[in-house]
Amino acid sequence: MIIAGIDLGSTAIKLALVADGQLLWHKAAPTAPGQEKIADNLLTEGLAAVGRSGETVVRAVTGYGKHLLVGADRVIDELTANRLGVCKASDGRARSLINIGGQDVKVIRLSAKGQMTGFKMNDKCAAGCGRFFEVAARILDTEVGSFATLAANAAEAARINSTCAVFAESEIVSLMAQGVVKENIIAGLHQSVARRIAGLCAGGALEDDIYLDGGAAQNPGLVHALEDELCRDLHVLPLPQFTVAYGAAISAAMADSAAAKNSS
Amino acid sequence: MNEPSRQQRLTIKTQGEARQEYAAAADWLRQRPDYHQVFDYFLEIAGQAWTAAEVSERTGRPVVQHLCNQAPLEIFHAMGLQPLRLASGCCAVSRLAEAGLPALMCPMLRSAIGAQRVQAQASRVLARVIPTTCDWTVKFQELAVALPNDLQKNSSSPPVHLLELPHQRHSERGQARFQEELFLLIDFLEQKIGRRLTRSALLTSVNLYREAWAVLESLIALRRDGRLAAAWFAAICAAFLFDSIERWLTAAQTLVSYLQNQKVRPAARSVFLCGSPIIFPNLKLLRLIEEAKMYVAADELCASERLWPGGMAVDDRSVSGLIRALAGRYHRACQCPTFADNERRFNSVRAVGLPLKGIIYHVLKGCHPFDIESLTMERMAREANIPFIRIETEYSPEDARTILTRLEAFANIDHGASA
Ligand code: SF4
Repeated sequence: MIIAGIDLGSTAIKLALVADGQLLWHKAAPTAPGQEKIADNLLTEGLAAVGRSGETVVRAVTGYGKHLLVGADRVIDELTANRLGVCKASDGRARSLINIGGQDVKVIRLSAKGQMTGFKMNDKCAAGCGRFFEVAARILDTEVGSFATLAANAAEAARINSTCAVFAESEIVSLMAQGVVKENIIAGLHQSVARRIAGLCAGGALEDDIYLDGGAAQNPGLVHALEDELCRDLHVLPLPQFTVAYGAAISAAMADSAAAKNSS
Repeated sequence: MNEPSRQQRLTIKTQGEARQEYAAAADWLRQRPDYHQVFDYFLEIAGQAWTAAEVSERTGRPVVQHLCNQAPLEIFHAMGLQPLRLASGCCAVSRLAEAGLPALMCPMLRSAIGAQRVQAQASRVLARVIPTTCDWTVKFQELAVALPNDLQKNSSSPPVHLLELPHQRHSERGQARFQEELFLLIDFLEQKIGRRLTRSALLTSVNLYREAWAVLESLIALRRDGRLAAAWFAAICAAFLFDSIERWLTAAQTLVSYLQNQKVRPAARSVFLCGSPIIFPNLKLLRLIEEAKMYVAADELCASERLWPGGMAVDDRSVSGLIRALAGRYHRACQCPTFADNERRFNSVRAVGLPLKGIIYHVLKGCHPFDIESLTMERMAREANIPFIRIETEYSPEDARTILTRLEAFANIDHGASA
């Protein structure tokens, strides 16, 4: 059986094709109107890429837009999908995970068996989330993908104080007007976001073996800044943007095997 | 003919939006599988914003508006008056109250002020009774009369009586002062209506409300075993706050008989809902909790289960004896977060006696008393090993999606697993 885990996120739609617990194919597309069509196109492309076009596919959907996909076989809440994806991909080593999504940050604590034992979410403000980096990239006229390299060359991190994405935006503009170089601003952004995420992790929210995922985890500059703030090592899985979609597929596979067990 | 002013146009537009908001909430309830025509009365009353004039006409009594739970309803009733709660759960009318009000204000009172502005019917109200609970209620009148210019022309504010609330409910001094306050309230109302409160009228009202409390208790028991969803309970409580007790009692008794014949539906994920009030048509959180597949088996919200603070012991049937008993019930037994000595509030969670998935604590942004008490409640929940989630929100629907994500996670969390 082939399962498509589909994560309809606020900034990107991610699809993971999974068979026998193995990730066969993955791809993301920016979120835009007509999410169902975008997801369908990704699915068609993926099935063709793995040479399994025409096969019956179980569609397991998660993410903010999960209720928008008509005819989904399974709808899974984001945190369950995230937990399952990271647990499986880390071979059960993860005890905490920090997901930096497009519009929120989630911190999840896991038991030794991979059950969720606690969580925290920052959903009040886009500062600290993936969307924030996109906005900053637009103002700085720089690809998010080059943030890490630029930050590594910073002489010193600029101080960004605003805890609100909108005010942080104007702070960046004013730093640029003062002649602060891009490198320093980006390093400052990483620090400011890391500080905010670390604040969310305070008060025993984290166990050891901390995994970071979500699109922003692909930015080593942010990972280092967060490690500095937390004074702890972070693990980043090879495909951090796809763990939630992968987890949705794993959840569907588990439900399927439980149903098969019950009927036998 | 004069063109309507911008404010008048805004008022008309807001009236239309408010009507839609009420209708949408009522329609959602009507379309539920657990709907039955026995709920129609509650939907009729809860499903629209009634003006004081309409309530007065419907009940045949002059209206006294009041805030909070501490003004004894029995006293109003015994004096031939219709209590009408100054509370609103309508998001649309809040807009009318935005100009000239503090930005971070209690959304419930902002909406109540907006509702007053839409209605501009203050002149039909005999009096306003405001227990001095939180800062927002103490300043309610000051805020309510800060009207934009062209609304001021059509409105006059009713006479206001502040029912001073001693904030230590377990001290003898506080209790004695509250009894005194009730006598002052009676003096005030007697002056307004031009006649005395009689012992027999008070006794009749006390007995009538005792019946109502008994029915509320039955309804609460029906919630516990899964036969009455929280959204229905919100409609029932709204009808209690906005209609005559006699009509409500008849409808509620019929409802209890109907529900008692329904199958018990033990809920797998029962939660206890605490915090700031939820008032019809603001069903946002209740709907999201259902969407996250949890069932609100109990609450301690002030416009919901806390309308019923427990039985009332009457051993002395004189007016003073009845007032003493009412004071005990409306002050000492009340668990409003504005009290300084409120440690026993957590007992209401324990008293539910159900296996709970957890406590959902609702904080309306700007509602400081419940915000402050959330810390104590969270600590007590932790000590008792009861999972706890705090949801801070306001009336607007824009944060529904993120709240749902959090509630779904809360529903799926494995609280039994060792971390
Ligand atoms: S206690 Fe909270 S909800 Fe009640 S009136 Fe005060 S601020 Fe508003």
